[in-house]
Amino acid sequence: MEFGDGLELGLPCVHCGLCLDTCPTYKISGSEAASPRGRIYIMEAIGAGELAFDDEAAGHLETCLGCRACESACPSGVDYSRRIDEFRPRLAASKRRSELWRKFSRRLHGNTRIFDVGLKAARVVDSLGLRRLRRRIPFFSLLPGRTASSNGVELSPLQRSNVHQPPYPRARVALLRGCIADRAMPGLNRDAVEVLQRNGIEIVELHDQVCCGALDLHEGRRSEALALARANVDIFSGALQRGEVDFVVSTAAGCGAQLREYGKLLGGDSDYREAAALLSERHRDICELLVELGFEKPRAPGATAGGKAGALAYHDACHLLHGCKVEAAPRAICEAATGTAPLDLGENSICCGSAGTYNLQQRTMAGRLGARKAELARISGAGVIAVANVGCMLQLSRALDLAGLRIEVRHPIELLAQAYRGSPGAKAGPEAKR
Amino acid sequence: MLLDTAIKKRLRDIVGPEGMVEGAAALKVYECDGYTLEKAKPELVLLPGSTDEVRRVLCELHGAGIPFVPRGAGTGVSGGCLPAGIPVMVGSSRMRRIRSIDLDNARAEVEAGVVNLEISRAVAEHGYYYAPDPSSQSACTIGGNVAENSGGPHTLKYGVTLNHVLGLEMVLPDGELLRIENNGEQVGYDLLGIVTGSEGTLGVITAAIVKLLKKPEAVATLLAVFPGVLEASRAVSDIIAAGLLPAAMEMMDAMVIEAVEAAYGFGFPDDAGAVLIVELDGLEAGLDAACVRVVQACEGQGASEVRRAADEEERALLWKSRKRAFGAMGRLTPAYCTQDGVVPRSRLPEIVEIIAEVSQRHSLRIATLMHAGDGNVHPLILYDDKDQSQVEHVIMAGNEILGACLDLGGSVSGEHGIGVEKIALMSQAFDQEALQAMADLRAVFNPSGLCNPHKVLPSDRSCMEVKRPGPRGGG
Repeated sequence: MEFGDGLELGLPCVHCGLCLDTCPTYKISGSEAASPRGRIYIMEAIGAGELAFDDEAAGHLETCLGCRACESACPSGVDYSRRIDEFRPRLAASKRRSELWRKFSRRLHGNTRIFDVGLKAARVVDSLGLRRLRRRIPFFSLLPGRTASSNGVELSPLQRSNVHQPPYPRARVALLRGCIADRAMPGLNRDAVEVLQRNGIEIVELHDQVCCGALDLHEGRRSEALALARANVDIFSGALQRGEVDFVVSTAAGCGAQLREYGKLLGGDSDYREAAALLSERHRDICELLVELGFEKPRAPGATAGGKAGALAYHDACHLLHGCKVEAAPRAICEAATGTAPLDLGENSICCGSAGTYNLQQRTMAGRLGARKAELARISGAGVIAVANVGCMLQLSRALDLAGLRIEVRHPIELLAQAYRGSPGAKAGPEAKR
Repeated sequence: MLLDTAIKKRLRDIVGPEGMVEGAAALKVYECDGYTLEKAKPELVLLPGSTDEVRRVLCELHGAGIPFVPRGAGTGVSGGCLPAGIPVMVGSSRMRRIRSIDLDNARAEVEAGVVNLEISRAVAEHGYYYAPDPSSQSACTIGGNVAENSGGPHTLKYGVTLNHVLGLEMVLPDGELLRIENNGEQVGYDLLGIVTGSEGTLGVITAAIVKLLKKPEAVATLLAVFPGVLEASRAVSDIIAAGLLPAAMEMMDAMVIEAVEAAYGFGFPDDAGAVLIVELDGLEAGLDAACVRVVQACEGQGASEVRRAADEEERALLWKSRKRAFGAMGRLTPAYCTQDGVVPRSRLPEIVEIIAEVSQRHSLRIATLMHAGDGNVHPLILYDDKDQSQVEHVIMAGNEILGACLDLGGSVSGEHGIGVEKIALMSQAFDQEALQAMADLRAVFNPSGLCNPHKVLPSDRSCMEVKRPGPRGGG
């Protein structure tokens, strides 16, 4: 680096505009104020005192999904998410958020019963045939209800996995369970454990893990996010340093991308800098890990994958594609699980509108982005869409429901687990025993 | 303030609330494009959703005598859509429909706001693509491409935007809708040629009918490493002299290589003084033989290494490194000024020596990127925008290089346009009569002068003798 200024915010934006068309909100609205270059310009102008930080300016920044597609497109390496994250506390402090939302959003993560209650209610409503109606109610609309893939017995991963640890593990990993995944789709983590163990990977359960802090960071609660990051670094990096685990694995791309940011996030904290960087470096998305270590190809791919007839399309989760730069691995998992390369949904680098709590706050834009995906899904002719992030799964399910499309949404790992179970002569996995 | 509430209301009625950008923060964003040195905030940005809305907007503005400027994606690098003294901006970003694709006749009709690369994406599955590929093709719009007559690396063989436009739909500054089509042979005057490259000074382009090409059967991309820019530019002439017409011949000097290597890690050799990217395409048969002749020509000029991209992945990375080189310069310098000059290809070695001499004399680092096959040079003058004395030298250095391009029989713009940036150089490039003829031509389309005034041609209001370069660029 040959020049000093702006170092803390990374490399300078040279205003080339290559990011514009990768930005979902620019694509939808056509306004450059809703583009990454525009938002950077607004933030810089506010910083330089040329522009007031008023409701209008805050509104342009708030419509940012944080999907980071612009970072993938930026030739100058501008750290966009860091810039906007610096701004989020100011956005949160502005009076645009209601007290109710603040309270609610604080309880979204962690050991809250909000999901359990909501999930039960959603199933009841769905069983009364009111699912389409429920899909129109904020928050409630996002819950999986009866269409979810979590249609098994809900047990925490450890209770099942203890019994089936591979005797000679090829690697030992800790699984970051993810608050929302664990509540809304417990079947996913169960499948993850099953798939990992079947591939000779031992799961080391780290009990005191906490929320990754991504939602707090997006809500501008920086100190809370940092506290959560430190707690997780204590737990996961401790286990990495002691050699108890080789990798930390996540099934939710949003949480995974956050772990990868810990190094930067805690870069200014001399006590945590190295341990945080270690955790960021040793994080793997589950698909990425399986491809990296090699994984067993199901003998009867596609036998039960997806459950129904219909081609499979893969859609990139932004935090996996742009946040973790993982593109090929989940496609390879899908291909192994179904026997054919997944279809391209089109506009793969464009966010579905989920984006953390975005679809709870910016409902109009999120709804339009979701509808755009649903339309692409309809055109693709897919019967199943695979996506490797819980938030996207919930958002896409709702969008497809609202569009009246009967297309299933699955995590690639669920498809793989299902293909394993359907394979003749499959090893006695947890599911096979039941 | 030219706009009163009554006219704003009428305009809002036409474009709807989503087509109206009027907040202070949002307007701030529109104060410049890829050329950031000069800035001016519009009073209102309109984003019409259809040709009819554009027509009605322009009627309204014409009636009220209000000047306006068209804008695509704002990726231009000569300030062509700078709203200086222009209250209203008319953007195409909500006109993004591909109206029709006619593969039998290999053409597509697209609205002005369609992004260049989107056309190729839409027809890729049938083996077609849209050939002009400016470096900003993932963001820039067809309307903007037509306005600037954009080029790109592959113009050497395939030509510029004009060679790929079969028809245009535009709205004249008084609101009249005009369709220009060229079905086959050109009969009468070439109106497409007049409008294409007019930098938004003749009216607002609302749609274009573009040519689609079948993807070549085979492509070979070679990377040749030279000790210096001089050797590489001689090799360019030798390749052409050998009777070959590569699809592209792109040169990057050591400084550009350093920046793109930092950004993309392609694996260029550390000691490379210059690299030449030569792409050959066409039929499978004969391609290997052509490659051999390129290798011979390069080695004849002292290339230390010539390798062929092993697979599509390597080829894609090589092109990514090249096409995003402008943006990647942010890794070497806080600011830079992009110049866009042209010389006859055979005189590339001379301009290379002049650039080196200018660089030394002004103590400025100048990185050079070239569409070498076309003789189009992009010297990127690196500087610190906080050092005012350096800025003065940048201005002088840029003018000296462009002046030398003219002296060598070339031009002051290959593809970036004149905009506001190079207005002062126009009187160097053309005599008064030629400029008057151009002004007369503009008046045929734009008699009121309301459409994008003070651009391209020197006028009373925009006559700035000392031009300051843009600190940044792309293209």
